[in-house]
Amino acid sequence: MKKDPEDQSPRNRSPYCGDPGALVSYLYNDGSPDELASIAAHVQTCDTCTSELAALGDTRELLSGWSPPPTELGLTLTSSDALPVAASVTMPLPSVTAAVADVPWWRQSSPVWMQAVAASMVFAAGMAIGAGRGATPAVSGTVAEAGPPAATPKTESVSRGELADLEQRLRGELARLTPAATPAPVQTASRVDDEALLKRVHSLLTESEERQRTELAQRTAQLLRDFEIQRKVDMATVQQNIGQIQGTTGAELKQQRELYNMLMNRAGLLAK
Amino acid sequence: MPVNASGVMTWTDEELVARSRTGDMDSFNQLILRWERPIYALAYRVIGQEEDARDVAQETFLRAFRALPGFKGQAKFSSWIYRIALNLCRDWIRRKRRTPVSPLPDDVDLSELAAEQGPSESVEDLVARRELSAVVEEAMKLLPEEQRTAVILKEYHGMTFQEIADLQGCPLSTVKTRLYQGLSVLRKHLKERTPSPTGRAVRVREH
Repeated sequence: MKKDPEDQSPRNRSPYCGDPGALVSYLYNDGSPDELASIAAHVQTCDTCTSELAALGDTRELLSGWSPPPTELGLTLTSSDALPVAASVTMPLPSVTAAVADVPWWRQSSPVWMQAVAASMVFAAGMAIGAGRGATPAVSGTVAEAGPPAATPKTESVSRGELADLEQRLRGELARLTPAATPAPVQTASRVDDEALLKRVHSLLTESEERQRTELAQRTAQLLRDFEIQRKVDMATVQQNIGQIQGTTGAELKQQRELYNMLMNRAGLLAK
Repeated sequence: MPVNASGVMTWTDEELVARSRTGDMDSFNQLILRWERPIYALAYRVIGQEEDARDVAQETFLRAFRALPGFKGQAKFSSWIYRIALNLCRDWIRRKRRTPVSPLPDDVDLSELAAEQGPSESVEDLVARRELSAVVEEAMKLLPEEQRTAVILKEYHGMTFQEIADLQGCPLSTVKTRLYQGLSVLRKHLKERTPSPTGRAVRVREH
């Protein structure tokens, strides 16, 4: 305490004096305005708390000098590595890590939209195959005519009948596997959904390309900046080394000169 | 899209979260861009390994994205992501079963220092800052995990006592005590190793 020795008596002692909670609240200015005002009023009259706060403030000043090593992060998620859990899963905050960590990635279900994209791609492939098959008779009399010339004789003799049989068998199998065939309205709705999804995929791809272009530009700029800094440091190091070499060379010359002088003196003495 | 004072179009975290939940990967990548640096800094300061901190940061966002359907906005996105990162750091520390902060190199690599700094800072400043950084990092090793985390969240991430209490799952008074005790240990250690608070230190705060 300072100012008035009477303030140090237990009767007048502030409840904030030496209280760690009060000190850190004041230090970080984190508390209710009334509380902070009361602490401030005490600190103004207490040497002990004032010096304690000053020391803690100095410590904070030193702490501010700790920065993690800069690293190029550039983290991004792509649809291939971000396979979220099913949309219906509700996850309370405290268990986020445990809940996700316990499920291996290969057992986690794909998102609905990814499944839909995959389904639409399969559907589109099927449509393409179907279109190709349907167009063949109109273009040529035989399937073989569309193939390579070397295969023409053999293919022509087996293709149409066997393909028709195969198609019949496949249709039969499909009919057995899916007795409750999907009604036409659902197929139409599905096709509309597929088109929307394909558009969405296309727009995502476009956005991704734009983002990659931007990132490339940023990284190039960073590289140029790093190169310039490195060049400056290299120049400083070279200059430092040259200075050292010059110093060393000067010392050697001095030694040689002294040796030479000494030899000359001795030679002079011997001549006399 | 909202426009900020600088004329730059920005979404709030909440808006980006909502868009991400519909499968918009770009929106989530914007969240990553916004938060990757603080999360990396947090991970590095807690576990002390650069490469592992990067991995933790990446894993944090990956897990956040996968758990996004379950995130109903009970807390701020930043609090949620910090919680995931801290949980991963804790897992990392338990898994490694070793001193959480890595030993520091004896020598200072000028080229490495230069590569990480802007052109305005001199080499001498870089060295001084790196040395101070090393001393603080060494001092942080002395703190128990809870104290260290509390100091890091308050000092480098500007969280309120209440936010730290929520993240650490402890009473507010405990947070204050941890901070005071942590700062006291750091104060003693730093006093022995540094002549005075250096004026060269550059204050770095993520948030």
